[in-house]
Amino acid sequence: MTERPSPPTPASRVSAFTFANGLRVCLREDHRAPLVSVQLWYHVGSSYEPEGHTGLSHALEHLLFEGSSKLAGGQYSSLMTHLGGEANAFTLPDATAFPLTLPANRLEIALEAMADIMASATLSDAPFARELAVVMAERREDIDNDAWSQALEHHLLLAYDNSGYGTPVIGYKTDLGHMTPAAARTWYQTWYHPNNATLAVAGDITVGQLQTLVTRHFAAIPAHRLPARQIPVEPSSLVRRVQTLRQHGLRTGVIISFNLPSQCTARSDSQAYGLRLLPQILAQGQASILQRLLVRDEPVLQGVWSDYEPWQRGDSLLTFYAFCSPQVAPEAAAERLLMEIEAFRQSAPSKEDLQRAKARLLAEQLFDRDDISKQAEAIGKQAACGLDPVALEDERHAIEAVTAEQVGLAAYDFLTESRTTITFTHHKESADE
Amino acid sequence: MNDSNSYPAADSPVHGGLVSAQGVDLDLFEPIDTQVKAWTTDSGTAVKFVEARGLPIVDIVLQFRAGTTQDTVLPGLASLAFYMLDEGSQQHTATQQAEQLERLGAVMEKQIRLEHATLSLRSLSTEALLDPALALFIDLVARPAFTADALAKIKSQLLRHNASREHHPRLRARSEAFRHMFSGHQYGNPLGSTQQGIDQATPEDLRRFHQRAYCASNLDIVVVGDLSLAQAQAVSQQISQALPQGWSAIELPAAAPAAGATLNVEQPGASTAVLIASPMNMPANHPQYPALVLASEVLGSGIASRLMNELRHRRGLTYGIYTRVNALSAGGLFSAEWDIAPEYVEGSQVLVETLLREFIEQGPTQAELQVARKQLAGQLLRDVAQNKLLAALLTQINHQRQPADFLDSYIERLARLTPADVRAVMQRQLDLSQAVRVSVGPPTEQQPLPATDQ
Repeated sequence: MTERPSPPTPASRVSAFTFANGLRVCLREDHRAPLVSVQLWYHVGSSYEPEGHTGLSHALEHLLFEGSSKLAGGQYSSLMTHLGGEANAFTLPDATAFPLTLPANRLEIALEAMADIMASATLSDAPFARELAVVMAERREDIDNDAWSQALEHHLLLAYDNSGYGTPVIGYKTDLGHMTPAAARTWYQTWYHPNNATLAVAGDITVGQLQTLVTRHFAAIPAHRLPARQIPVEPSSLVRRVQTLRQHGLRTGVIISFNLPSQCTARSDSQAYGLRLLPQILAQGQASILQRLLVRDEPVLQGVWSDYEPWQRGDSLLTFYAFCSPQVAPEAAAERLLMEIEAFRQSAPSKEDLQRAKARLLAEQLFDRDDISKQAEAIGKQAACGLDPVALEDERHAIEAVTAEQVGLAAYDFLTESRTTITFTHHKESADE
Repeated sequence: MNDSNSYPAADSPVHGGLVSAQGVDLDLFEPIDTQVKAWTTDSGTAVKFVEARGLPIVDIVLQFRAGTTQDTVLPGLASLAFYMLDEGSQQHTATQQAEQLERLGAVMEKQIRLEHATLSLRSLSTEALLDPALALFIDLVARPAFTADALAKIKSQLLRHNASREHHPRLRARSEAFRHMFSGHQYGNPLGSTQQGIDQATPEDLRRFHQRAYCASNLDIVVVGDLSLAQAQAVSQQISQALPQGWSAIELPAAAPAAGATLNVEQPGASTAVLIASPMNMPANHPQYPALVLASEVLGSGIASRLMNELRHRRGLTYGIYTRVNALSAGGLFSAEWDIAPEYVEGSQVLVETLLREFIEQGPTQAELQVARKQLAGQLLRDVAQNKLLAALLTQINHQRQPADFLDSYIERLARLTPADVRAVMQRQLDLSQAVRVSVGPPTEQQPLPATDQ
C-alpha cells in the first residue's frame, strides 16, 4: 500500500496568557458554532492526597456547587442549564475540572460564576453530610457493586505501589467515613487559587474578547502560596508483581501493566511519542498485533485492548486488558500475551504496523476536534501535568517524526519483566465456591 | 473592576448576585440554523445530508431496519448476521478489512438494537483516504462472506456477551422489565437471541437474512461533513446500488403489555439496581410526544430534576436517578432507574411511585417546565454543533419518521406546550397499576428510609 497524504489540519494554534495572579488562560478558537466550552482546571487531584484522606479532592468537587457569595446552593448548575449550557465536574489523579459548554454570548455569566466559586465557595457544614452520603452511594454503585471496577482498583494499587496514583479517585470507604467538613475547607484553601488553575477555553470567541472578560472577573482574586508538591515516581526497585482475584460477575481474564514514563517524565520527545504509539501498535484496533495474533488468528482471547495515560505529572502505566476464550485459563492467556509482547520487544515494529498506528493516532486527534469540550479538555490535561498547552500544536509533527527504531527502543527499555504487574481475574459462581 | 461587596441584597432566584446576568434576556436562544438536504435514492434509501466544511472529516451512518426483532424464526439470527459483517467479505478477509481501514485512519462503529442495526464510518475527507475507506465499508456491508469458521467464533462471543449482560445489574433489570411486560411479543426478548437460536443458525440462514434485511429499501443513510451535495449524492447512490434490493422490514404486531408485577432478582453485590417501568404507546412522531419528553425531563433528567432533587439532594440516597421515554414502533415504556443501598429498595420504590403518581395527577409547575425546555434546547444546540452528534440526531429523526421541519421547529414546539398538556399526556399514557417494579441485588431485610434533614 502506498503512503497517502493526510489532509491539512485547520489552524489549530492554542493562544495563552497569564495574569499577574498566576491564572493561566488558554484558548483554541473554533468558530464552527456559536458555542464555547469553558473549563476551569485546578491542579489538584487524588494523587495529591495524604494517606488516610483519599477521596478528598473528589468530595470537594461535589461541594463546590453548594453556594458562594453570589450563588445559592445548586444555583450554579440550574443557572447554566437555564443559559442553554451543560455544567459538569470531574476529578482525575492530577486535576479537578469544571467543564461547561454553553452559548458563546453567555460566557461572561459563566466566568463570573466560576470566579465567584474560586474566591468564595461557602463549604458550610449543612450540606456536607448529605453530599458525602451521595459520594458514598457513588462509590457503592460504581465500584463496590462492579467486579471489574474493583479489579481495576486492586490492580492499580499493586502496579503503582505507593506513588499516589495507586489510590482510587473516589477514595476508600474507610477514608470517606472519616472525612470532615473542616478537611474539605482546608483542601479548598490550600489549592483553589488562581496560581494553581488553568482556564481552558475552546470555541467561538477571540483572544481579545476572552482576555477582557477574564480580566473583569478573575484578575482581582489574589494569588496564594502553594505547598511543596511531590511528583509521584515509580518505585526505585521494581519487581514483577502478581495477584489473583476471584469474584462473582468478574469475567475470566487478565490485566497486565508495565511501569513507564508519562509525557512529562519521558527523557525525550522521541521516547514520549514512541510510548504513545505502543498501545496503537499492540492492541488498539482489530489489526493491532495482539488482536491479530490472539483474537483473530488463534482464538486465545475473546478480546484485548490497552490504554496509556500520557498526561500525568509523574510516571505512568501501559496496561493491557484481556478476556479469555472459553477453556482458556487466565494464566495461560497471560503467558501467551507476555510471549508476544516479548517477541515485539526484541524487534522494532514493521513499517506497516507503525504506519497504521500513526494514521490512527493522528486521525483520532483530528476527530476529537469535532467536539469543543474535548479540545478544551486536551488543554486542561496538558496544563494540569505541567506541560505548556501551546505545545499541543507540535504533537502532529512529533508523532509523524517517530521512527520504528525509537518505538523499538521504548519497548525494549520499558516492556521488561521487572516492570510487569499481572492481575488474574476469575469468575466465581457463588460466595462459598 | 467589580467589587464583590457592592451587589444589591435582593438576589435573583435565577442568577443570584451575578452582575453580568443583569439586564440580559436569559430566555433568548440562538435559533437552530442547520441546512439539512433530504432525498430518496432510486433503490428507495432515504438520505439526509448536512455539509460541514469546518473540519476535514466525513461521517456516514447506515441504519437498517434489521434489529433483533426481525428474526422471529431463529432468535439470534439478526445479531449473528450483524456481528458477522466485518468478519470478511467475498473480496477481503477480516484481517484485510481491518488492516486497510485502520491504515486509512478510518473508524467503523456498529450497534444493534431491537429495531435497528446501525453501522457508521468516520473518515478523513481527503479523496485518497475517503474513497478507499468507503469502498471497504460498502464491501463489508453489501457482500459479507459469512464463513462457517467465523460464525463459530461469533456465536461463542455472542453467548459470552449475553451472559455478561445478565450479570450487569442495571442491564439485567431492564431485561427483566422487557421480558415481563412484553412476554409473547418480539420485545419480550431484549437480548435479541436465545441459546437455541444461536446454536441452530447456519451460514445459509445468515445469507438469506442478509438478502432481505440489508436491502437498500430497508435503509436510511445520514451523511455529515466535508463534502458537497453532489458528492454526498454520489456516496448515497454508490451505497444503495451495492446492496440487495426490494425488501422492507415487517411491521411488528402491536404489543399488549402484561399486568403489573414486582420482580426481585437476587444476586450478590453491594448495591441494588432498581427500575420502575410503565407501558406507554405513543409513536415518537406523534404531535403530543414532545410533551412526554418534557415530562421525563422534569422528572428525571439532569441534576435539578424532581426525582434527583428528592432522592439525591434532599435524602442523599443515591448518586443518580434517571427517567426515560422509550418509544418503539409497536409500543413502548416509560421508566425510572436508580441504584440504592439494598436495605432501602422497597422504601425507595414507594417514594418514587408516590412522586410519579403526584406528577401524573398534578403535572409540572410552569418553572419546572421552563427549565426542561431550556435543557432540551441547550442539548439540541450542542448536538447540531458537532458533526458526529448531528449525524446521530439525524439518524434518529429518520428512524422516528419525523417531519421535515423537525429540527427547525423543535424548540418552538416545546415552547408551545403548557403544564396542562404535559399533565394530560401523562394521564393518558401512564397507568401505574400496570407498572413493573424490578430490583437486582442481594436479598436484605428492608428498612424504612432515613429521615430527611431538609
